[in-house]
Amino acid sequence: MKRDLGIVSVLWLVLIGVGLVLAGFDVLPETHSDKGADVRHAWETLVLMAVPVMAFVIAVLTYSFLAYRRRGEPAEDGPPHTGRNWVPKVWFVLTGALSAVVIVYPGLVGIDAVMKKNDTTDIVVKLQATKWRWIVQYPDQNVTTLKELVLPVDKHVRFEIQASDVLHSVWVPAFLLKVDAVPGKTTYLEFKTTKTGSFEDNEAMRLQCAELCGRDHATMQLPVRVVAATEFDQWVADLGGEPGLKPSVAKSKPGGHSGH
Amino acid sequence: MTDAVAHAHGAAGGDGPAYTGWYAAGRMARGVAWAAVGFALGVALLAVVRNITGHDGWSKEASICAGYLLALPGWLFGMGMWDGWGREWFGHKVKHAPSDWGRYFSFCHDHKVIGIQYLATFVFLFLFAGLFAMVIRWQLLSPNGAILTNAQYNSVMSMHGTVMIAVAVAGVAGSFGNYILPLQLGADDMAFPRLNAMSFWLIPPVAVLLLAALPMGGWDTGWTAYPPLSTTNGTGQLMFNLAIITFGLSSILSGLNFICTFIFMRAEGMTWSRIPVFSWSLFAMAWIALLFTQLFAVSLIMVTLDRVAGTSWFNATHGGQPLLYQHVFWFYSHPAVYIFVLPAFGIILEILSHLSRKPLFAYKWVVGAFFGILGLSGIVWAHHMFTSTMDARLLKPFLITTELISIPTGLIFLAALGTIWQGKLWLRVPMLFALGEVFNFLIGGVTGIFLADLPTDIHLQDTYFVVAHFHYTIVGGEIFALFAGIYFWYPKITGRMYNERLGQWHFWLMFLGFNFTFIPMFWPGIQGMNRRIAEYTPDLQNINIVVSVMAFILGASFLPFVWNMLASLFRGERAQANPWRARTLEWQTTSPPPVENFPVPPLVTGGPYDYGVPGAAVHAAPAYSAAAGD
Amino acid sequence: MVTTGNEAALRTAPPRQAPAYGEAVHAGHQMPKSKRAHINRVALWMFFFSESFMFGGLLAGKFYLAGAGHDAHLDQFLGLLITSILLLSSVTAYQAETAIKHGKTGQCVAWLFLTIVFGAIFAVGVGFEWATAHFSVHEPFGTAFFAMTGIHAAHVISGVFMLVLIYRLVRRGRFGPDHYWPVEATVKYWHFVDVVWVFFYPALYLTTW
Ligand SMILES: [Cu+2]
Ligand SMILES: [Cu+2]
Repeated sequence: MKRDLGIVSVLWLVLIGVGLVLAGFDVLPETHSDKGADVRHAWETLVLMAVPVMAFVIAVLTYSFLAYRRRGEPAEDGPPHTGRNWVPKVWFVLTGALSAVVIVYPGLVGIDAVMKKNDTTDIVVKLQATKWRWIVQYPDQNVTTLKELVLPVDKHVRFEIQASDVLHSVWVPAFLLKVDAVPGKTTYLEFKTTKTGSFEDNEAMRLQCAELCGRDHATMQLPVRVVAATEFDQWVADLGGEPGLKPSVAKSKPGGHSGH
Repeated sequence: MTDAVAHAHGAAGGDGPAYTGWYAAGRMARGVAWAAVGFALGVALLAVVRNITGHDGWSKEASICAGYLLALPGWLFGMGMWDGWGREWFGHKVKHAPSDWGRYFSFCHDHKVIGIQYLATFVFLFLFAGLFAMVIRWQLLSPNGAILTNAQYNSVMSMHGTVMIAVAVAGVAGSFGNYILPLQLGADDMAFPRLNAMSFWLIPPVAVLLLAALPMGGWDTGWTAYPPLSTTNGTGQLMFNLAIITFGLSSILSGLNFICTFIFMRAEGMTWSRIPVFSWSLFAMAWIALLFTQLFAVSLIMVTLDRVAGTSWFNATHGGQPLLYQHVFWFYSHPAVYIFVLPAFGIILEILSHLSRKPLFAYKWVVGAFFGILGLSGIVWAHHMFTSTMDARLLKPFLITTELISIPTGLIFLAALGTIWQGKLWLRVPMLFALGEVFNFLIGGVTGIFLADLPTDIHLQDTYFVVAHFHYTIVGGEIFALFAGIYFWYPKITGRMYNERLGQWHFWLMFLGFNFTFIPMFWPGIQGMNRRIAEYTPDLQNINIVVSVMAFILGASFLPFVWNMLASLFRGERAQANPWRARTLEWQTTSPPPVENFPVPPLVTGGPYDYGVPGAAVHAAPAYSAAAGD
Repeated sequence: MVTTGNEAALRTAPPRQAPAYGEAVHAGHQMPKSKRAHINRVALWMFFFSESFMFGGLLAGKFYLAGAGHDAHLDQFLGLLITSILLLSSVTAYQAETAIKHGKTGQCVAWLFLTIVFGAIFAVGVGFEWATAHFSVHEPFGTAFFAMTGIHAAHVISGVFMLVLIYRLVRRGRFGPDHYWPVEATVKYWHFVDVVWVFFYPALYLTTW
């Protein structure tokens, strides 16, 4: 018994080490939004919490598999541990505590972070989803395009999203954010761009429909470009719009990542 | 069928006429004929009603609904429900089902026959939908889609998902629930044998409807059928709706039957604390099937009404609410996950105990955990809607309840680990599958936390991360248990032993193929590959090729399985009554059991898992003492 | 020590008195009648429990879609009338059950007949309501109204159908004080359909914004 526990403990620690090394690899896409960074923190926290739990189960499972195997039919029965004692109670309390932690952080704390409204809004983008394309409108700049979504860097952005036919979903993998487009209502996504980049360099920089919407759902996507403010103004001017941001416009309107 | 089976089942000819299998085939044809008559009648009746009420024109979908409404009873009554049941309602004597091989194709009431009917049907459907998975993986070898058009891809993907969900709902519960539950409880049948037969014979129309949808262009909504897409697409969607509503009815009736069997059909002495854990898991599962399935039906009835009756539940231009569907749908479809895995937990805990030669660890906690899961499962549905823009006040409560489910689930893991700890592990094929299931479900459970946690879900929702996650819970968690159960009870059901070597090949190929398919699949999801797409961005091609190749290995792993099952049926070694030396009651009768299950009613005198417990009473003995008087 | 618990005797004991294949070996025919009746009764209640989830879902759907409140054009008099008739039919159904329990076949037949008539009137009343409704099936309230009354009416019609079957059998004298479960089950089903209406009626006719 003591020997078994000792070996399993060592195995557990080794597996935790392996897990931590693996957790060191960055698997998320390069992140271009402030709330994306919150998502990233939540991910990293959950990975760290998952490592010891998974390592424990795998350690016991692997050790039992290797150490207790019998060639052929076992001639006798194992020790009759039935567990009607302290073990399940301790386990219950431990798992309860663990899930309480996960609920509070990154759970509830994280919700507040990713659902937060912007204090100011620098730029409003209207996204109209329709089978199977995106119509991008910049009301303040008086620009409409079907070709790409361009945003200035380090600015507070608000998407105002509408769907004209069926459900769609706005997902920019590089922002790590997503919200559905629902017929009959306007939904919102608010965040701040934090880093320049473009679809050409990073395929996660695209506006992808993420809710099955019929035949060409897969290709309902648009390249995304986050650029310097001057470059953005230039782009607006090239399309015949009115360059410049008007931060005050949208301040009083409702925001957050929800519908009405 | 082997003669052992035929002997055990067919020995008692009874007083009914000696029907042959051809008689059953005739009944089947009669069912089809009456279904056709019913369909025509329904269509005609609707035409008359429309005429009277002043609706002009012809409505294809309404006609299909009306026709189907009468075709379904036509099929059931024609194929044997009239002879075996309905006659009674009109004061006539019922007729018996055949007693030879034809009973497998008849409205037969024997729970063992029904269990085999379910098992054969759903293993077949599993392999069928598995082929569709192979097509999907072939398509995704290329970022532009290797073989299918986008529309074809959506149909294939939807068919794969829908059939596999049906397999997950009824594959384990329908097969082993029916076959094993009465045996474990020491009963001679289910509480409602005829209702049980009806539950099964509702399944063929489901399969026919789903297949009939294909020539109509299939349906492109996946198995979730979200409106408004599902209220505005082709007629294949209607076939899906009718199929799923029928399937739901079957599921509800089975649930009712399991509950009554569990409560009322237990042998003498089978007290609550002596009931095997698989039976407990079915009991907990059955409540979900009984109650929540209704909401699945409601959600699809609403979709159907929007399509054929012009209502606007989900039609936003007339004030409909697309999100209403998601609430109603997930109110069933989250608990459905526990319809899948609760019986799976039951099977693996059962096997771990018997083949570790140790008592089931924390038995009472496990039973408590089943009911904890049952209770919580009803109040977590909106975690599927974190990005659906539902009322923001709902987010936190649903996050909390969802995370709480990890507590009872954790107890299942404790039981599994505690049971094998210091055991004498007999690593036969069922044991391997059971251990593999524990590993798989660990990954399924842990990745579930990432999806239950809104801050990560907001990125991962609707990506291949979700696809990999639910394949870990459903295939890794349930289908592995299904195969564990198949190998474990194969000798009991057929009277023959499966081939151990082929079984080991199956396990290792499947276990490795499965993990090497789905572990890599998390990666494209995180990186930006959303689910249900026929094409993807080229940067993810390499990883998709890896996933596809591994998936083909996973697919190939079922070849030794099929060969093993079929060949062993005829050439397998004759099985003893109790090849595993297990204590539970299904092993205390012949393999396969006689029609009445136990020649002498059993008397239960001890716990089911008291291996190595000094002085423990046997689990069950024949009730001679009770019956001594006669 | 190996405890397998497999008692060879369970397998080798002589079979019970020649169990015939089919009906005769099945549980329902071996267990005492009182137990069979008990199981049937519990199962029926569980079926109602299950169905109430469906009706509850529809009710919740109504409030989600159309909010509390009803259409001003509803025919309140007709609604009240058919509701009263349906409630009355529960009383007559109860009388029919009581009569057969006491072996009074003639009375049971009469009460069943009345119940069938009331049920039919209710169904026709709903049909009339539909035909004369001033609101459309396309709008949210109309959606909820037609779907809920329609699904409820389908239950009423199936109940009437069952009552007719039972009526035939009672007239042939197939039931008595010791065997009346089919009558009881049908009547209980009828009560259940009634109770559902007790929830639907206020939700559709009486609630206000
Ligand atoms: Cu879309
Ligand atoms: Cu869920």
